[in-house]
Amino acid sequence: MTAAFWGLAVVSAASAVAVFVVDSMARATFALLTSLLAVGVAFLLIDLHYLGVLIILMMVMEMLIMAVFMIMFMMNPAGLTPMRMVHNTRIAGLVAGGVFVLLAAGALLTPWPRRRGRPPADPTHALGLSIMGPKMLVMMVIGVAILATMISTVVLATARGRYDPPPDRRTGEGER
Amino acid sequence: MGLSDWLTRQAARRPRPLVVTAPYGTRTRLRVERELARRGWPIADGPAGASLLVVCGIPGDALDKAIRTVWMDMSAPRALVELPHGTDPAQALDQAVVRLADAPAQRRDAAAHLARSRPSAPMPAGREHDGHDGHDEHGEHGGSPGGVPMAGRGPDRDGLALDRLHVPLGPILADWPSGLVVEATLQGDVIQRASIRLTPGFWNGPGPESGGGREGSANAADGHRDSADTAGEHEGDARGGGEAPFWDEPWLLASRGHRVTRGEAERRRAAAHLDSLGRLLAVAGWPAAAATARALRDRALAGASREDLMPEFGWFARRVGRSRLLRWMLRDLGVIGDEPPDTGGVGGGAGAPGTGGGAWLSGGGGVGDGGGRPGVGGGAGAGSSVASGVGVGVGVGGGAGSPGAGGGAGLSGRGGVGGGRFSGDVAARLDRWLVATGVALGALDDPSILQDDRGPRGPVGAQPSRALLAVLPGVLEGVELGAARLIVASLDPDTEQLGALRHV
Amino acid sequence: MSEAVPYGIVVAFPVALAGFTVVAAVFDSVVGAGWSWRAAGGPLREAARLLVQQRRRTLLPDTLLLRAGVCGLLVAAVLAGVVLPLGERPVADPPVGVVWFNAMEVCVWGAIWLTGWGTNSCYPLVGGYRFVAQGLAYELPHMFALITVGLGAGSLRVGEVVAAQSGLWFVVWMPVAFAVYLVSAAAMAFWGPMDRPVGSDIAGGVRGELSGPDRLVFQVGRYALLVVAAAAAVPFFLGGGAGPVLPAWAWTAIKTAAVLAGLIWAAHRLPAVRMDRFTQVSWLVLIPASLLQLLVVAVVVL
Repeated sequence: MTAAFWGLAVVSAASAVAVFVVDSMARATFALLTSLLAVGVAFLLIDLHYLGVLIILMMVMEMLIMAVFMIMFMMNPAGLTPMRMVHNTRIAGLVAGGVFVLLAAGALLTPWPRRRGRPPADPTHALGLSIMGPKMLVMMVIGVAILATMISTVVLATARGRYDPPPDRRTGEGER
Repeated sequence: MGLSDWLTRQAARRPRPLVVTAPYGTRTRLRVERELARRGWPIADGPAGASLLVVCGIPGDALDKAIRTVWMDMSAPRALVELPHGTDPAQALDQAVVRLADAPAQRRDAAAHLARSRPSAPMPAGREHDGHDGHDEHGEHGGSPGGVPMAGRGPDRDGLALDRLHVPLGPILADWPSGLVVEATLQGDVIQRASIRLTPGFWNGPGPESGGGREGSANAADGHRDSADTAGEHEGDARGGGEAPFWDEPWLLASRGHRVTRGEAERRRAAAHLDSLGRLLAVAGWPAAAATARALRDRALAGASREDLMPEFGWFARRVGRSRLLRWMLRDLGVIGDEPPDTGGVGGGAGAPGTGGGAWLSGGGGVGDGGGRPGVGGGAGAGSSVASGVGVGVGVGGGAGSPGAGGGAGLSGRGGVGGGRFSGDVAARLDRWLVATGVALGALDDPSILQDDRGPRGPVGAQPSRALLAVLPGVLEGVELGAARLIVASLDPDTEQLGALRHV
Repeated sequence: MSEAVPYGIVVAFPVALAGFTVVAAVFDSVVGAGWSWRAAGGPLREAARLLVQQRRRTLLPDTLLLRAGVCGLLVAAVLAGVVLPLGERPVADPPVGVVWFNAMEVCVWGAIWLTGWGTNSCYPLVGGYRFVAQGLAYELPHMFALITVGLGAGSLRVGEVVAAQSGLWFVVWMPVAFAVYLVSAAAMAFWGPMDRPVGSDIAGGVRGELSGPDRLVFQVGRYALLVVAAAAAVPFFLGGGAGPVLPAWAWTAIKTAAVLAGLIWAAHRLPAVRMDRFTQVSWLVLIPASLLQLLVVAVVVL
């Protein structure tokens, strides 16, 4: 268990570093994905099955959608030209260092509580209850409402889709 | 090596052929396709999946170069089957199987292939290099790796600046008109601009560009010659040994005074439409229906009787015609209107309207020569009414460019696409083919003498495919790649027709 | 995941998956040749051909990502399959088996996109692009169909989903979810009418530049994914191994074969579906329909 955790931690950190080292956007994207997947698997280790699998699921989808935008803007298969994945290194380094120190300090200095009792049979269930408690029904309704809003916004916002004929051609004029 | 030899021999018995059709190779292609269907060899969808490269007819220099490039990149075990006109495909394919099964020779070929270590260029043409660099904000980069320049940017139709890629569609592509190349400028999978050229060998004049392809291609520049010269070249370059365009043959023969019955002509017409239907259905991702269409085509050409063909055709036409899924996919694609020609374009000429009147479409205007001078297309109207009663007028592009500059001739002229025959969307054209095939099959026994020249694609003398090609760039703009393939397949221009001017 | 898995299952699973993969390829070849049993040997000869064929090299490929993509497809298919019972029980029965299946099947997106990208060629890239678009079109209704199953069973553990159908199969009272599932099964395996990512109109799409062992692994992965997608319909909707007389494993095999045959038959019976048309229907018809189905099931469960 501990070995698995440290293994995942190393994979996660190493591929996170790789994001900035590799020279193509595709590799950077998938290095980031590897890092996040390792985090997802780490959740499985602490028996948060649902959250762990959900992280894997969502991260793959998110990274792929990112990739679509990438090829939309950069029609270069396999990232022909090597690129540096870092810009504005000085300020970025300062910000990153600052955030790292802050988070690490938080992790080390927080007085973590000792474990009392045993973990629940279904930690995800327990976690959900403790976060949302009696508001569960409301949250679920809101979830569906958000989805409906998203879809209708997309439908309303796109007067014409990427593949629809432009308005001047819709009447079947044939050309131009 | 024992195991790998055994595997090689096993694999050789079911090769994957990729079929390339050269000018006037249609007759050979049909024989090859029938033979492949008989053997049950599935056609490869691209060079990577193929082990057999079958060349039908005699390719001209440019097509030959493309074929060599594809052949060089094909992985061993492989075999090249060249079928000049009149060769027996069955025998040649048998020999290819023997070559494929010859494991030591294939190993030598593989080693030689590796030694050349010339990686293939997946996209033969270069990417656009606009001078400015599209990726400055991504940091430094090393110019053009592998000698391939980076993609340049261009405004998207929605006002975004997106990278563009220049990709030639064809000439070696499954279910694609032979010799046709669509030079597409892609943004993602959407064609932003398209221009058209033919690989030389079909027609020796300037690249037949029109519509969106105003920028003029290198090919067109090469091809500029005086009209008179061009005509002369046709004779000299006719490497097909005087082969006529296969689908128009009965009508061409009739026009030269040969005795051709209407039944024979209708047989050819039915087969031509079934061939087009097979292509369209294959591109539409319905290989089973495509195979039926092709089997019917082969049987029609082999001389099957009307009673023999009609029931199965009826079944096929019902299945295809009633497929709501197919209709949904083909609706509103590649809409060609039937409005009067727009005379405001670059080209001045316009064809005379057909006798039926009304149905018209402008061919997209003349295109300039290399120097940007607009070629003036003189339209010689060849109007005649078709069975449907809709007037068809097809302007034959007559090159009337300034002789000193070498005027853009022929295809750059305004060609009217007969509204009745090709108007509407892809689904409408599919329906029209189905109906026309049924009518043609019904007339298989007609013993009367053929007197008109209304071939499968329109009046043979007027070369309707010329007009089809002229329309093509316009309808391909702003279209997704798969939809573009469907549109091309639904027009299915017969490139052999373009060289046929000398025959009539 | 903690309890000991019977040794037999661990052996039986890859054997069953491999067997069904071969059967699927053979059946596909037979139907594709117009129900000609002569074509039955086709896939094996094709495999022999690909085994001895050279690798195709393209200009400046990203070989690492390409290999990751090609192998990833098969790996994702296998990992998605481990939660499916081969009779009484699966190789692994995590408490969130349904979500696990979903997550592994989404990993296919990554694999396909990488394959399309890595070859550095236009048609494969467009194929990869098409698959992601297809994923966005089918995934939401697909998820709702799976959630409906989970809601009906009151659990996301595949074993409990099967147990919940001891009285009535889910297909009977969740027909919409089952229909949506079948559509998305074809879409996730880019199969049948949903095969445009590897369509012949873009010269083979994602696999357009693959030859030799690369193509073999890719093809095997695709058929394996199809098998897993079909097999998942059995525990989710068709009562798992339940059935008279025969043992559970036999019923699982029969039902899987039936769903598989249906998918393969449909692939040859229908023209291809393009996502520029389908997405709209998927979002405006399938999502509301699957939400309604979810509502109905929720009311019944309450």
